Amino acid sequence: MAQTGKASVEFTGFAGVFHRLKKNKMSIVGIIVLIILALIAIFANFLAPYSYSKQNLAHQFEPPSKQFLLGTDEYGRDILSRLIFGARISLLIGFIAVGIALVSGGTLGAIAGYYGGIVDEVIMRIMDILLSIPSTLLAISIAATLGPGLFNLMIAVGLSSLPQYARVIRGSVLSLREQEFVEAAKAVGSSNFRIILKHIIPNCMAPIIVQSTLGVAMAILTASGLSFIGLGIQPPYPEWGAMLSGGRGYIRDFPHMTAFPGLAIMITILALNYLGDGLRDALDPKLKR
Amino acid sequence: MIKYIVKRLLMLVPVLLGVAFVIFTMLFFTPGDPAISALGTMASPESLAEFRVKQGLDDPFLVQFKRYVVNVLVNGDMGTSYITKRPVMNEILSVFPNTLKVTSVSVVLCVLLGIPLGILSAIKQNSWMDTSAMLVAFIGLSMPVFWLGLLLILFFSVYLGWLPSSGLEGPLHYILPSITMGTFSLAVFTRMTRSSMLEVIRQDFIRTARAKGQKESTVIWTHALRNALIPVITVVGLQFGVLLAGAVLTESIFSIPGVGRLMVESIKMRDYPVVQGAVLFIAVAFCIVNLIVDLLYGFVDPRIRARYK
Repeated sequence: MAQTGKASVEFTGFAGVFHRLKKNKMSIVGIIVLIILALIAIFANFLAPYSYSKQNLAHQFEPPSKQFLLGTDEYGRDILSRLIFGARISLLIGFIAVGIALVSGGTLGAIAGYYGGIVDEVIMRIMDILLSIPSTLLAISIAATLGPGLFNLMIAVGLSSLPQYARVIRGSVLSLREQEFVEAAKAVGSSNFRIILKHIIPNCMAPIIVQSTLGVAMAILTASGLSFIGLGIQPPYPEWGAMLSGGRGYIRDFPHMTAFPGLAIMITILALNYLGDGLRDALDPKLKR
Repeated sequence: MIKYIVKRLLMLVPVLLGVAFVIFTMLFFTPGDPAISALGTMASPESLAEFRVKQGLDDPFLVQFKRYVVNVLVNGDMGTSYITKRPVMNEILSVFPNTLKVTSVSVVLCVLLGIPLGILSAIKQNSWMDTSAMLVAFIGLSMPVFWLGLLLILFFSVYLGWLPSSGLEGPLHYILPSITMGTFSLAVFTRMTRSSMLEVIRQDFIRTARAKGQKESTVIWTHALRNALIPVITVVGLQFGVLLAGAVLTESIFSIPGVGRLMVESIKMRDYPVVQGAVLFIAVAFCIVNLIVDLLYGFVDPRIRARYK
């Protein structure tokens, strides 16, 4: 395609998406921030100056200094190191929880949308019931049932957002089901399972990607909320929400203990939201700005 | 119209039953022996067994569920707290008004601030007002509720000493909790109103109204707004649920004696009848609010009513 000055040519497919996404500066900032976070999470062991769990009671409650860049908490642990390891935990929770919700909710939604009829009715009624409980409350209940722990937290957060994914995917499947390429696949004798997996799901990717990106943000928010009230991660794991909860009692005298974990959460969520918003605009074929 | 109301009310019943079932199931499978939670670890095996028989804890799952539902519906009895030994319903009803008060103030604040902001942003699209409003909204969406609460306390209570940080004694006490709870929803309302208005303004009937020579204010208020607000109404209902769930965190931070804090404390103390009751209570409240919103929706949008004729 000849490029004549500005975008006088319509890009399609992946190139088109990328092109539109690039125009949205905040999304690019979001991507960069997320890449940095991911790198921090992966290389935490090398980046963190101190251990996240080793107590150092000689240095309790220290404000930010050259030795402890972001200060120390009530046990003398370096906050910066805890934040770095916390990045790993938060990102893990976000992705796995969304993964759980996507696989379970998506499967249910795809089945409901594809087969229709009574299967659809039953599954969607159950989703309606689950949606009648605010998702944070659902997460709290599941977490209370399962007990504390990182894995239980992921399951709780994941399952609490399941209905939304079921709905989104069902919607996409419903609209794709009638298209000709499905009919063609059926005519060739493809099994229903194969059709769903190989034909329909790949074409639903746009709403899935948007929902998942924003979903990771919600998952991290919910997870830190649960940790804040004491469900989920157990000490000494440095989950950001738990760090906020720990610093709460000392907020008067040592505000740095709450300021920095909260900032970390906010920056992460902000980046994810900007990216998700940008992806939504870039992937929407109808949006012509 | 009546038919619409009746139909929606009837649809509510199986949903509520389903909600009760989900909540009951979850707490049924919580590890730990309810008898020990109620009587303590020093209790003798005989008294534990007696407790189990009296509470029917050895009955099959469905029997227990049916008993629970019947108890709630007929006697208004959600069981007894393991810790305080008082009826769960009393515990909840004694604190629910506080939650309701703070949540209501939040909703009113969000609606009164968010909708006009959204409208203005839409009318003056891409102006500095629009961009800054959207930026603030975005930050509001991304800020964790509990952090915002702590920051507000730090700033307004600790540093400035202007506002109280706990309890609900006077009107000043409502300010920080409502702002904390409402910021997320405010952001959602502003954005939703803005995008809804933008979509409506682009439509042909607006162009017609303008071509007819109508005053711009009439075009906006009479024609555009009425249509733009319809999807916003649904969002109000949904946000109420978010607010109620957010109450859990906010009440913990501001030490407000409400249903949210009751729930958190009960979870910590393994007082499961109260947890179950509190979650069920909030879920039912959420369903009822959504029902009211749906009915309002049907009232405002004649096309919905037509579907149910």
